[in-house]
Amino acid sequence: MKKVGFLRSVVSIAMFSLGACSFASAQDGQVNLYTTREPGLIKPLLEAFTKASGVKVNAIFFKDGMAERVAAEGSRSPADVLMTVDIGNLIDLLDRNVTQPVKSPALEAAIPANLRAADGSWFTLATRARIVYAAKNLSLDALNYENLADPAWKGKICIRSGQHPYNTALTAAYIAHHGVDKAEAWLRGVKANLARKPGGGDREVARDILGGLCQIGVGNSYYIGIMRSGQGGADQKAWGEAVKAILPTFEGGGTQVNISGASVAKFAPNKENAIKLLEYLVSDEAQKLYASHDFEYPVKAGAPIDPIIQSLGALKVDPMPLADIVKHRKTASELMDKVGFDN
Amino acid sequence: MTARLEIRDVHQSFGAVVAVEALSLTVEPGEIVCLLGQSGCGKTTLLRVVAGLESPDRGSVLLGGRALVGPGLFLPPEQRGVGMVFQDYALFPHLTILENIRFGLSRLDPAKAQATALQALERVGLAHAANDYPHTLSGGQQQRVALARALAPRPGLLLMDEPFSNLDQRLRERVRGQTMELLRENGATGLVVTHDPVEAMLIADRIALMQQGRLVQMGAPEDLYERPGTLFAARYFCDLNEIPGVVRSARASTALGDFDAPGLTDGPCVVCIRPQALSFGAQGREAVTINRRFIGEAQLIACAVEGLAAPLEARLPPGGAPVAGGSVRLSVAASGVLVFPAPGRG
Amino acid sequence: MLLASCLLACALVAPVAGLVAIAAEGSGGAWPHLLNYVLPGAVRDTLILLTGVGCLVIAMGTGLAWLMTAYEFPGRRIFEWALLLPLAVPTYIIAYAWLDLLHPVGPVQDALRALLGVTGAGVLPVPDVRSMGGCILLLSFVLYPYVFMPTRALFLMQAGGLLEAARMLGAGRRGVFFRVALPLARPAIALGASLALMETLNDIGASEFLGVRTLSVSIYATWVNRSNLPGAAQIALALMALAVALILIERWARRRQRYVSQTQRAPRARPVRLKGWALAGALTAASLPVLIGFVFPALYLVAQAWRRIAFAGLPHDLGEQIRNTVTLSAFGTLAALCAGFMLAYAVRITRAPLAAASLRVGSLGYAIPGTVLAIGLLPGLMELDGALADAIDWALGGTAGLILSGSGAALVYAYATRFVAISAGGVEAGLSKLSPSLDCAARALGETAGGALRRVHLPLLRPALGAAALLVFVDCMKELPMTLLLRPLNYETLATHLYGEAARGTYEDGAVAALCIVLVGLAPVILLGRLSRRPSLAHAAPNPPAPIPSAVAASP
Repeated sequence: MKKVGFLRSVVSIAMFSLGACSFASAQDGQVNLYTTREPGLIKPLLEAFTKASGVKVNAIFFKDGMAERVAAEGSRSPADVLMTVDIGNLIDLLDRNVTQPVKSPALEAAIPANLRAADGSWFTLATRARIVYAAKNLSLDALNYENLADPAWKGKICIRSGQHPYNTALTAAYIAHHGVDKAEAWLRGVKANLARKPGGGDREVARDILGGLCQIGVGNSYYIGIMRSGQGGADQKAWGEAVKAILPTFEGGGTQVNISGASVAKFAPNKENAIKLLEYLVSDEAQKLYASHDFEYPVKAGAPIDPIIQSLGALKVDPMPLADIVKHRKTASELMDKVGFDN
Repeated sequence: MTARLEIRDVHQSFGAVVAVEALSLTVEPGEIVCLLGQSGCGKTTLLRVVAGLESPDRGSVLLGGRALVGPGLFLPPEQRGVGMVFQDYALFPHLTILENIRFGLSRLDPAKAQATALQALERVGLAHAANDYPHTLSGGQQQRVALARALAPRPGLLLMDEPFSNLDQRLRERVRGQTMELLRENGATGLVVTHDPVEAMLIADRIALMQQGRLVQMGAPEDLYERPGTLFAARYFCDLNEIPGVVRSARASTALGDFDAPGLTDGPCVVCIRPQALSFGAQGREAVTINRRFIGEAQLIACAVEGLAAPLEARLPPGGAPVAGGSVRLSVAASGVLVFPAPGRG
Repeated sequence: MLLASCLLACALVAPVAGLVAIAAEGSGGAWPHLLNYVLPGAVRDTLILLTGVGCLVIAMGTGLAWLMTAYEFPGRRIFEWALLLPLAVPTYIIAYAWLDLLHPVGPVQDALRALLGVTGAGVLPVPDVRSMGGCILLLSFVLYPYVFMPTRALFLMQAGGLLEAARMLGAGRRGVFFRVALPLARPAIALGASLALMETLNDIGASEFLGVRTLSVSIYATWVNRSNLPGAAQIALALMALAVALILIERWARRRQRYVSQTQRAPRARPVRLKGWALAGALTAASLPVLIGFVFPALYLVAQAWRRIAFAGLPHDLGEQIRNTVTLSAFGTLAALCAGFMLAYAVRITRAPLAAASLRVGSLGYAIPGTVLAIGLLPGLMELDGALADAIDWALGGTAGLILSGSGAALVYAYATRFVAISAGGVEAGLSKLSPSLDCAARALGETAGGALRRVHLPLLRPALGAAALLVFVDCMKELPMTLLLRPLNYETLATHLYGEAARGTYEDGAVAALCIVLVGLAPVILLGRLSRRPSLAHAAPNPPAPIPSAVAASP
């Protein structure tokens, strides 16, 4: 025990001397961000924020367990802004009571009311649609999500793990539209149509279509932009160009969207800067970056959509309120298990 | 099951080191031969060549008329029908005693193998330990298991590499007795490596004395003891008093007197006198006793003789001890004297 | 010493205790669902995966070890350490690399098509690595060194006399291998295999990516998608119980045998020189694992990294990431090593059952998936961190931040809890080979207990410690989930950087980091190879990968 204690201090000293970290959480001109967002997607925005405001952003990029860490850190948590890429994960933070409501006229003005909490405990920064990638030569121009279970697609669909938040969110929306029983039947139908085991990421879907493993697949809208723009390298450009994107809708509804969103942490030591960061992220400048660098749909009305995404066609957002969808997230995940989607 | 072993002109070297050189010998069926020599003389290598654990550079080995190794031929050890007891016994630690013995009986049907193995265990008096693991046995018991294991497949030839060296003195004598009894019961042909001349004389029908990879002399124990062909052989079997002398007309003259030296050419020589050939009496050379050590069945007395650089050691029956520093007269029994040409001279 | 060892064990097992506390919150009725729909499939897939990987790593590990020991052929000495290289490749990297290589639009199929003159993608019958079979193969090809290393060392020091004795009793070369060498190597094989299986059991990256639903993936789904951490903790603990039970059964099965060589140093069995077809076969068998587990993925990474560097230059923060990785791994190794040494040494010195229990309990962390362990560790750690900060506030005034989690010390602690099993096992096995009379001799010559440690044990244990340190270092470096969760602000290691790029799908950017991980991992692996090759130190090598059975399970 003694040894470890001694070690800890050695480590602290060593790390401190390397300047690898900062202990003090509240510092002028700084803001601390915890996020599950992929670093490459958010870093340019953060750099732009620092340039514009002079506030330095310190970040930790998580995969899972962000909520657990903030909760465990308690009142001394250095976190100011908590950012997720899924509405469900964002609501989890609220449920764990690690966020605080904030008032900001700028945020309220920029974000439509259905894409933020009324009390200011969470805000949407950008949205993405769950769409269908299809082989270029396929004569297919429109599709309902419901059609994915059509036996005509038997052996032709690729998709990532059913337990991935993107897919459970889609299923939760399906439940919100049609009820649990129909959702289960739909999942069984989709499962029966799969060309390979669910796995990999959304980009693998495009690659597998190029490789002839399947003809259509499900993926997020912004990956089309990342691939086609060449941001992900020459290989991915080829994958992106091998597929055409179709914006499917629910029967009697629209295209399912998910959000990148953020909250201010409950014990944010730099609350002012936290709000400043959020406000920057919905500014015209940042929203343009969201569109042009991340290929998401800007949340702010009137902000320009990237031409690549624009070319996918007009997005008709599903009117189902996000809060209603989030409710079914657990059921959706359980349905995935029940139908053995990933087996 | 006993067979005649012939080793013909075997050479074995490891890199630049010659371990066995032009070695030939024969072991008659049922005979037990000891390979005797100092460590590094090649005796273990020769044993391993016979076992098939080394493949010799040259030469051949025949067992019961069948070639084990020869020009263009090498039978792997498992096909030779040769048993071996290792110096460290090499009992398989993951098998019970009984399974160890059954190991070599896999060609028999299981029931027969079991019975044979049990029988072999009984013969070494360890039937009660059949289901124990080797590490629970004492050294002597392990040795007996190793022996039973080697004999169970009824090999035509049994090889033993220093089989008793890991046992303490008292145990060694007992185990040695039991082992030899068992060997003779089996009528096995045996080739045993040892460095201990007394042990070799105790167990061997014939002894093959080796030096630097070569066979120095082979014969019955008495032959080697009484009539060693070389100074090396003489020294190996007995602590000798060695005094320089000069041969002239088949007589060696020394500070202690003249001795017969039949067949030796004229020139310097070494005269070896066994300690027990020296006795004190009324006649002989004058000597002064230096010290006396009592070893039970005998006493060893060191005495200085004028004209000799080193004191002589005499081995006398106990009793009637001369006092140290006393003056005695030494006489030499001619039967205990060996004369060899001085080393370095032809 | 005993007290210190107990306290240390408590500190190390704290995350497991934390998990128990979380699990005890009740899973909110998750079990009916889990039992009905999740566990049957997940258990089945996990068992298939474990069986497959277990069989393959044992077959490859022991087969190669025997090949390297019983035979002689040109290049054998090179293969001896080259066969360790796949250790430097994390499972998630080999999964990514081979998926890319074998994909219908990847280089292998492109080349095949060009060769066969076929056009059109997807026409070649190349099996998809995204399958159970692919997952088993890929994991086996990076995990077999865990078996190869200790088994090879055991074969090396196995008294040649035993093998010779077997042949004298009529066993052929095959018989010697199957009836003597293999059973004798069983402890080493069991140790190595259990290590490889723990890695498999806890692997998330590769299995999830390749679409295999293991129990670990289920733990994730339960936690992340259904926000049911207690349920996830319960599965994790059940998983741990399963792992410990397996180990106990294996030890129980050989409770009466003792493997410590009681023989004298017998000559090593002389290897057979291979010629002709046998030589070709041996070269193929020895090079395939190196090619699949290391050379091809590494070459692919080099090619990808080259394209990236040509396109955008070196990532500007690469140097800092390498420094962070090495620093963090070094401290993690040091902590795991000190803790492991202390636990194992206390057993030696005090011979108290409590010390032995501390050793077993302290090593439990290895049997739990990294993230879950980290989650278990969070509440207690943060509590401590908060108390520490309160104390500083009180002493210095002002508001201190969280020092442990803010400095990476939390991460070092986490590494120690997870990897102490490796170092403790290594030290324990190393100590077991030192005769107790050495202790007595040192003390009789007037040396204190500390002096005996410094002047006798430490020098003799150096190889064992060195090997353990290298293994832990490589493991720390490859570690991803705990690093992601517990790192300080703005702190990127190679692994977290790679994760970030892979998550975004910009593989080419990630390739540079991936290559760096493999390269940084290469040095310790090569050192390890050298360490285990020196005959005088050969006894040290079986130790490090010995952790689980010796450390988690009770002694026989």
